[in-house]
Amino acid sequence: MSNQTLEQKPKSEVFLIIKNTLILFAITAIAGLLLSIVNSMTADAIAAQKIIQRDNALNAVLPDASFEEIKIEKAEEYQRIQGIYQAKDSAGNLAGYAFMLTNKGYGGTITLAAGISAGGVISGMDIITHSETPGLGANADTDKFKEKLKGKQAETLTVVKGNNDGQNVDALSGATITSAAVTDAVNEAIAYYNNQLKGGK
Amino acid sequence: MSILKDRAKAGLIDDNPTFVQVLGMCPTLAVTSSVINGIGMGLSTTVVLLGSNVVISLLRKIIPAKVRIPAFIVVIATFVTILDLLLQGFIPSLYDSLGLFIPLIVVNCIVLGRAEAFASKNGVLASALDGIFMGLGFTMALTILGMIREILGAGQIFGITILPEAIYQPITIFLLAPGAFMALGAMLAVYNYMKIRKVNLAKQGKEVAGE
Repeated sequence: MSNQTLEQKPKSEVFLIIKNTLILFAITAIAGLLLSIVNSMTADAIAAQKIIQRDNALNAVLPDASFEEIKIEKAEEYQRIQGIYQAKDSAGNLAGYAFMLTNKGYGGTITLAAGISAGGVISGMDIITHSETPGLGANADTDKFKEKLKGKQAETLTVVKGNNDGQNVDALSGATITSAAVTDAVNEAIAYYNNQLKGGK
Repeated sequence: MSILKDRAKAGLIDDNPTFVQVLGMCPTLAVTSSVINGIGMGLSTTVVLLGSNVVISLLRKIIPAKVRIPAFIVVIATFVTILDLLLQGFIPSLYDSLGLFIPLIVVNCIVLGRAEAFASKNGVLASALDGIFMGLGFTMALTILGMIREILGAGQIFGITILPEAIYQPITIFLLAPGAFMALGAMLAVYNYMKIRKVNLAKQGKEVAGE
């Protein structure tokens, strides 16, 4: 009798481990199956939404244009540029270029869009995602700050406190790092525009 | 009916996830810089709580005790991911404002806490009600906290300025992490004060009745 239980005990423990593993495996497998179904159901809709979002962002910095992505030349020199879009107006003339940019801010990565019109003027800047401090750096995502960049010539911009004349950009109070991060990203777009795009290259 | 009343009282007051259980502090402190964020986080957590409580209650006799934690986590993470994908694909306007918080729900210990403490031991109906009311209790706490922080920190409510800068200089710290701790601490103090006062009043009432 005692021999039997001694033999049985390790057997049942092994059996339990296998049973537990199989149940957990089954739960995980069902979860994975469900996720793949939902993923395939939503993949198209999500992709469509991303394009709408992108076009909205590009239109915010370069209004009334249609966009076509172009290749980034010398991409290794322009690490902050994620994408460049050639903009055409309704008559098919070149309206300018829109840039998708990223840079490291104070609280994490900032994604932004900037537009340069065919006349070499900054047509707009828009913050797409950021995790800056609310009340300080997050103010970069307000019209008040965006207006500071708009209309500047496409030449290197400098962040200055309390002065927004010429190529100076007035820093947000209490958020110099955020202001500099945004301006540096826009500067890279300007540099790319001047070196690669200007003059119909 | 009594289950409904019982769960409502537990979730909203007696066992409130924020005031009493003090669970889920990461999303509570992180997202309540405005009222709308608090409501959004609270309601999306409620949806996940409801779903995970129902599924875990249904599976409670199948899931072995030894592997219950990984099983619960898989169920919760699946719900969160499904919610994330559906919102992203079909309700983009809501996703724009909530997208940031949805992955945070996985690490919200309220969801795992209710799975472990309630859904794994109770029937489906009771667990569903528990999920709804714990979620609403959480939403309520986050809304109040968001309201306090938005008014003090920005002079606004729901993004509408109610205290113009001319008469009220916003205290920016209430929008930052330290302000979240201060506001939460003050809320917990008020909650406990009210609770203790109620108990004392009940005691006094008994003494009077005893005489």
